[in-house]
Amino acid sequence: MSEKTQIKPSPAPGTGAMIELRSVSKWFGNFQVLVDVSLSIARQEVIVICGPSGSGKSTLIRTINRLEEHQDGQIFVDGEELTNDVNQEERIRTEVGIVFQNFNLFPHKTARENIMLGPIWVRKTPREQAQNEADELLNRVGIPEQADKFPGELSGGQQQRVAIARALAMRPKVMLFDEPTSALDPEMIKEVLDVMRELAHHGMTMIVVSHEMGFAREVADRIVFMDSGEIVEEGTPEKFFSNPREERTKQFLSQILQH
Amino acid sequence: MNSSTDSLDALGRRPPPPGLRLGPLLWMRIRLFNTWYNSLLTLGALWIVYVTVTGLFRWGIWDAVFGVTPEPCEGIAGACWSVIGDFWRVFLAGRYPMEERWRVLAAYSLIIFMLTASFWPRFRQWRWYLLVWVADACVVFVLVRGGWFGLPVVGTRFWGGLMITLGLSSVGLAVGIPIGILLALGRTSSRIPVIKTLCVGFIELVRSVPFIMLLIMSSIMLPMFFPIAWDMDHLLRAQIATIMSAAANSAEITRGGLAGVGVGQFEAAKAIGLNYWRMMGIVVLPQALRYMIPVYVSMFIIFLKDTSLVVVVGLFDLLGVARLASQNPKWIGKDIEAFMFVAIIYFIMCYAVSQHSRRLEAKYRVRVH
Repeated sequence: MSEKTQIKPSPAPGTGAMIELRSVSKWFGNFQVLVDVSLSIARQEVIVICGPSGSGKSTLIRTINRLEEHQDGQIFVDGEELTNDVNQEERIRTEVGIVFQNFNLFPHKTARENIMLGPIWVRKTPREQAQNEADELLNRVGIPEQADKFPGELSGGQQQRVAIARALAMRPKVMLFDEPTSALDPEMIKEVLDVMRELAHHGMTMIVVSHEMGFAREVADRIVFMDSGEIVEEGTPEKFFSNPREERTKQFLSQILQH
Repeated sequence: MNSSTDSLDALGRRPPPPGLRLGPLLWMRIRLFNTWYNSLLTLGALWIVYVTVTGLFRWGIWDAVFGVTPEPCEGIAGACWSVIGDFWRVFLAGRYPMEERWRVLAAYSLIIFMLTASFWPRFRQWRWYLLVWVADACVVFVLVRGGWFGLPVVGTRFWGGLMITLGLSSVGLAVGIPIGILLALGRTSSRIPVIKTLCVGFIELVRSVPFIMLLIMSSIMLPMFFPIAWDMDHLLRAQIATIMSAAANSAEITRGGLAGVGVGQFEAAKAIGLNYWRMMGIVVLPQALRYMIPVYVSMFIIFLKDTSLVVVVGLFDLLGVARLASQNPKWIGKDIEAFMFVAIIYFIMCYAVSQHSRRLEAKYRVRVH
């Protein structure tokens, strides 16, 4: 741990910020991909992280559920600091849901079974109940009729919605989205964004890495701009889009809002 | 010219363009005789096939003698299948005592019954499947060996022929493959260096030794690890060697299959909170195994044939019996018939296995993209 890190006591779970990153740094070999990142996310807040590719956005959210490990700094999930403990890892992952860019559905299971897998094997939910909950979730994301289809038989938008349902089945406190619509055809982006919008309105804490500025403007409470591993600027959508302070932010916005 | 609606059939579909459906003559002209050298090759191949098939037919069936005594075979040009007629019981059951032969027959019937029953849909749930096969294996073992339920013991010295071939290969694979999968997991994922080193050491050691050496070494060395008084059953020594070989090879096959499963699957499984064993057992291995079906089938076929090496440690499998038969004074010189019979049996078994593998591959849609 570096000297800069203050040894502040972490707040008790249930109070304080949902996710807190303090001076988090990460290296891939000699390359520093996260440079002293500090961010605090309150309950029910929706954050959109944007930035050029290679800026460390995906790595950042993957450190929160320990798909990547940080080398320096502290990360708190609902007051609990992330450590190397394997049991804690597994427990945190049940509380933090993630949706991947390329869906990562289990191809040898049907949509319903994909969603039921977590509750049955991790939360030990009885099969009947898990099945009912899975059907409810499929209904919520708008594709109840696809329950018995395999991922290979579904369109990209439908697969991503099943992936969202699968993450929701674990009843997480936080949902992470790693460029959820980047691999989708334009017609299907809307259906996924609608589901995410509905989630946000129901009060889910969400961290979304995305280039969908329309969605950000409409749904986000805060927008965070990252470049080269650091947080360059953050602010509410109004301030961010109309009055960016940093030069890099202005440059990025001019590129991305062009088309 | 608007032909778009003219050529539709009753269901509104367009028939295929002409010329895509080839009659046999046209096919031969295009595939076999299109150029002068292809025509030459075709004729040459046809001539070879003709000579081979008619030669085999004449030797094996037309001029052959089917009986049980060696006298009718004096000076004939064809095959003398009587060696089989005399020795077929030994091929199937070795030197099993006459009165107890019914037990071997019962065991074979049970196995055939189980194989056919496997295609019955009720058995699709893998727990049922496993249970019934394990029970079946136990019953077969009790039947053949005896010692319980009033059946007299028939030691492994008397077993031979097809029993040993099938027994060694199936038990070797049934026990060796799960061990191999565990070894592969230990090799790739273990965070504990000791486990990793042991797994790698075992796998590389066993794989680098020819199977025949493994057989010889286990026959000689295994008794040294145990109390002098226990003369370890010779068949058991060979069985341990087959299990080790199956485990090591299966470990490498599994490791290859695991590498083919995308990293996203591991991440998705971890992300919903699955622990290591659940991630492997529910998500990763089922996907990996379906790609390894063709390789495992090759392994089974190779194994089936490799068991013929046990003749060097004094056991009489199918091949051993063939040699026994051909060296018997009554049947001197009748090697070809004996070995051809064994070859036919091996062919039937291996072909059946590869046909089953094709069905499995079709079911799980294993394809080269």
